Amino acid sequence: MKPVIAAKSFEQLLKALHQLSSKYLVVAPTTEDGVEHYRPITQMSEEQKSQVERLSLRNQPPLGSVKPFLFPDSEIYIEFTKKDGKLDVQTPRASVPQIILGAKPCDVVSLELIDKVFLEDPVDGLYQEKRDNTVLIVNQCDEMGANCRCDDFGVQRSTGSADLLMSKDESSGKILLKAQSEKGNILAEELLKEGMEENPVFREPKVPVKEALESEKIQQAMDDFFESPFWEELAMRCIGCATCTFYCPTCHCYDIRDFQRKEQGARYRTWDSCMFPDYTRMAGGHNPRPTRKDRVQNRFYHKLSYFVKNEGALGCVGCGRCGEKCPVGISMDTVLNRIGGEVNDK
Amino acid sequence: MTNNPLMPINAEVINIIPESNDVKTFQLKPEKPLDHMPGQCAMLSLLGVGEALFSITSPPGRDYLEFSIKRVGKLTEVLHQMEPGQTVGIRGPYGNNFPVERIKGKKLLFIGGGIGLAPLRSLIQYTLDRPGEYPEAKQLIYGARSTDDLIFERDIFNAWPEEKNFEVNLSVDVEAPNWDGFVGFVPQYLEELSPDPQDTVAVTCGPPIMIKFVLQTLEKIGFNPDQIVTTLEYKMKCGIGKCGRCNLDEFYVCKDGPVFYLSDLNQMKSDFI
Repeated sequence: MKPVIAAKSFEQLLKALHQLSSKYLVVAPTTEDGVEHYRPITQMSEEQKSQVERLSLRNQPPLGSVKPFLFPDSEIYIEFTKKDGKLDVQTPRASVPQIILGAKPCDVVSLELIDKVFLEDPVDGLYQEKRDNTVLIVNQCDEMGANCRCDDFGVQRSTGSADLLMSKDESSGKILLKAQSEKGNILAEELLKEGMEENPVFREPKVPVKEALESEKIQQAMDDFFESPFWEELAMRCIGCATCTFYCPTCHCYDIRDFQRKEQGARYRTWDSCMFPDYTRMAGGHNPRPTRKDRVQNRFYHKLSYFVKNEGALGCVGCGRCGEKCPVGISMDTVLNRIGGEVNDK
Repeated sequence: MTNNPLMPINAEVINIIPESNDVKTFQLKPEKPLDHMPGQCAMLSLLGVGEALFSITSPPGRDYLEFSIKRVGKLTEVLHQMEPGQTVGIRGPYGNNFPVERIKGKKLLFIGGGIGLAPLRSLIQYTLDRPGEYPEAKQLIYGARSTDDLIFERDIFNAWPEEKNFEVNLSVDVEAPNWDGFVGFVPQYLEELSPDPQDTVAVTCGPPIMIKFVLQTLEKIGFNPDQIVTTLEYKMKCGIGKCGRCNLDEFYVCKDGPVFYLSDLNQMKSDFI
């Protein structure tokens, strides 16, 4: 059974979700100081709430991805107190159920790529718990956004692990939701109680489906391209700021750090970036990736070659965020256009 | 409770053996046993200080785990100030192990430099514990910067030379009084000794620059890449192939390594040292 339900308007949907906010943390895209991010709706100003519909239904993902709600940029997993020589250790409380409204197919697939790493044995329990606790309400785009390359990566209509699909019926202004998982069914039931209604049809997205790049072909082309002087040139342009990796929805690298002030402290993990020399530099000073060329090359090879070999998929969803924010204009296309093959004609 | 593989368990420090000016061996007793094989590693941590990966230097089958740790950074500095009876965090074991099956029936050549003897010691002792499985001749070529920097003195000067069929060759980089061993770098000593590669497997660990020249010398004296095994040290955080940093091409040193045959390393596109 795939029930479709409808809200009379986006406003009604938001109100219904608001009613559920004692049970779920509800996050949706808005702007904060002019930058697009997912934020809890209960913390939004009226002005911020007015942005949610546009950003949820737009043909482009918000700048900040949904990743931080499943893999936070900083996450404490041990808290401790050291008092009079006695160590007292606590683990922080479990995560709460959450609804992410207005996720995009590229972000959904990026989570599926992170699943391949974090849910593979030994399972990352911190991530799994949030993944299991998250209901994704996904809007499929009707056309490609300006920086989007999701068609190259075959994800533009992908709905794999979405719990509910969302679209707007332009003629009536109704917001339609179609459940496609158990979590989605449960939320649909709850929304019906909050005044949404059953609806006979769902409006399918219009975005054209193009043949995606073949991951093995890209991987082979990359491997053949390893010795190219191109990587030196690219390293000359890159300033090593790591912006690409912090906006990337598929980057999963992390650091583990300890913090202590006086009697209290914590051990936490935090996003890290392969673009920093410290990422691989050891305490004794040795660094297996000492140059920027090594690091730039590693980032692109991880996405376009190593991930294919290890996980059977390209490690990029074509969301375009890295290219949009790179201060020197390096994007996935910068590399894809150079390695040969069918992407050359772009 | 969330199943978090990053969560350490407690281990009691039962003994600390000073090895050199900046190396100490820590005998630890984890609250639950960690079954390891030679070549594997474990994460040691102190809350509020940090966590790092160290190779397990004791062989399997002891009722403690030993880690020989050089004082080089923030965590190791604090570890060196510890005393028996105190507690550290531990998780693991991680990584693959030395190819204990594939080297059965082979002559074994161990080549170590400085603290690099630590992972080899687990394998050396493992093979000595099982003379029936590893009956062939063994040889250790081990060097350090100075006589003060040689570690495991009780093994290299006393226990191992007493073993049947085990030749121990020691070197130091610089001349020292009362030193009658070789003076020079380990790769030079290796070349001078030129052990016979026939039916032999060489296993080496040491500082990156030493490994680099030892590998070259081994090939020069006739060893094939599939007769050469090394173990790599990379910066690691998770130890389980997820945090990203220790990759060498598509392999993670923490889980696909740290032990590699040179024949496999030669296939890598990236420099492994």
